[in-house]
Amino acid sequence: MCGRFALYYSREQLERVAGTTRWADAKDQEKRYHYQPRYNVAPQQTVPLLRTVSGERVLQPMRWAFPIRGRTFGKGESPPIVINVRAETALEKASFRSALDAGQRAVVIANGFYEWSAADAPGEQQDVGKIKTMTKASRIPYFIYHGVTKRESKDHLAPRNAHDMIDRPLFMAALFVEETEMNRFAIFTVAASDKIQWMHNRMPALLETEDQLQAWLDVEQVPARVAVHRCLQPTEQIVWHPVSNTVSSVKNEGPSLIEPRRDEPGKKPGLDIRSAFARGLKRSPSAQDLQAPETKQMRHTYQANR
Amino acid sequence: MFEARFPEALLLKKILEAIKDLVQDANFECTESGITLQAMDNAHVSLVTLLLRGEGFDLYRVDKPESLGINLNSMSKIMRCAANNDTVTVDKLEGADTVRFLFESPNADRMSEFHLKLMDIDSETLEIPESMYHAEIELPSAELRRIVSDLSTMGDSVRISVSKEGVRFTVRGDEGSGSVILRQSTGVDKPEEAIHIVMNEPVEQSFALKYLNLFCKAAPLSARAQIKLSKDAPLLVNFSMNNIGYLAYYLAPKIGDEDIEE
Repeated sequence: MCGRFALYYSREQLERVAGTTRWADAKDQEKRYHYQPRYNVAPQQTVPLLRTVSGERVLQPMRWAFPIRGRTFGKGESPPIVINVRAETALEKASFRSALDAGQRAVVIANGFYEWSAADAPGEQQDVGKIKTMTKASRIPYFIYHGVTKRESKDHLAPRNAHDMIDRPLFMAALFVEETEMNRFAIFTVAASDKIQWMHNRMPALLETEDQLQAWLDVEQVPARVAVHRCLQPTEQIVWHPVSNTVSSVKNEGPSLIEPRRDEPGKKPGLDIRSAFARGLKRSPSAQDLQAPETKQMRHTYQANR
Repeated sequence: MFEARFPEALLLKKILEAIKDLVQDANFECTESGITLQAMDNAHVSLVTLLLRGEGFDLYRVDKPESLGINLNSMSKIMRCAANNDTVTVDKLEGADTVRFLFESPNADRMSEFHLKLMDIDSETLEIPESMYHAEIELPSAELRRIVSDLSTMGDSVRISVSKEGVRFTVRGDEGSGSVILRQSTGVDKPEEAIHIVMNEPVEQSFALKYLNLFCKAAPLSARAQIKLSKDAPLLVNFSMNNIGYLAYYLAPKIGDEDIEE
């Protein structure tokens, strides 16, 4: 699933990434919406989505809560909502089918999304019993963003580092319904790619190429069935790092949320080889031996150890 | 230009088998001295490092250091097309975006070649602290594989403790528990079966058996395996390939709840 993401471009960067400076004509509630960079976008919140109106790309604020119509709900209860739509069955389900047929496709632009690993330790993900009893707080959140793995990207990318990659946008396929006050959307999910299966079995449907993005947005030329089959596929073009559990609360906000996780005092440390090396370095009794040119590239280390 | 000729395809096949289930894509760094690879698994819990020294090849030539980004599954598919005793020449022209695999049968009556597209893989190189280990164990790699495989039937993680009595591997699962103890060998009749334990300080840590099982896929590469442990630092499992190089794995320890309360 995809239940939390980050969109922290400035308004100008967002418009550049979206390829448009046009914002949709505001509906009632949209008038009160002001775009702000966010590191912790959660369901029920409002973010700008990219869509096409009369063949032109526009940005339009929408609320992340897709209403399910035709389901009965008790007095005082809110109508049921969903935040994710399974790509495999979207064409079969009435509520999504009608939105798809009406061409209500849009794109969530994000810098990255968050996922909580299915188990606190990779390798235990098969252990269903443990997952059931595990709370979100005891699981490790990961920030997942665009990874550059294709050779062609080498030419026009200057020095690459983690921050560079985080600045590359993710385009997540979404579906929305028209509402009088403000449109509401859900994000498509697909089976997780092999690369990320260990973390979770679903991932958002990411539009990887300009062709896919164009086809998804071109609701007039590209019928729903074609768009779903052509565009909604698992992708391997992602990388991630573990982040602090502060992202688990929707109240928290700020750039620290996407920073690589450090072991928190008194908390269970992440089962991460990097932090394990750091811990070993800190507490190892031979630490005084490691003061000078101690950290060498490993091939040197090995030659010394042999 | 980069060119390396392996005397036997079997070695390269075994190396790939030992890595490809842990890491999908990796960069082979080819320098004058040899080929190295360092990669983390997807979950970043373990790290694999490979060294193949230039002198271990029939022919080895690097004009300019090259980084070959390769999908290991694709490479493994290509390697399956080689007979075990074929020689394998891997070469890449400068600026090319593919690498060539040339297989030649021992009596030179059959040749086949495959080209594999290279990838641009982002990978960070971890600097491994040159630490002293609290305990070092050397044992037959088949013995290590057997222990890991036996204990995997009972649970997910193994507790390795080194003390004066020897090395104890303990597993606890829902159905029960089990343990294996190894002691320092006294006889020297069969040095290849000997178990050597060097303990500077007692140490006890838990590790995910799933990863240890993947590491043991390297057992066919080397008759002997070395395990090195330190408090809080990653475990090191090393398979040395004589004069050719080594394949080594690091694994982050599992931190149990009892450790946190300390």
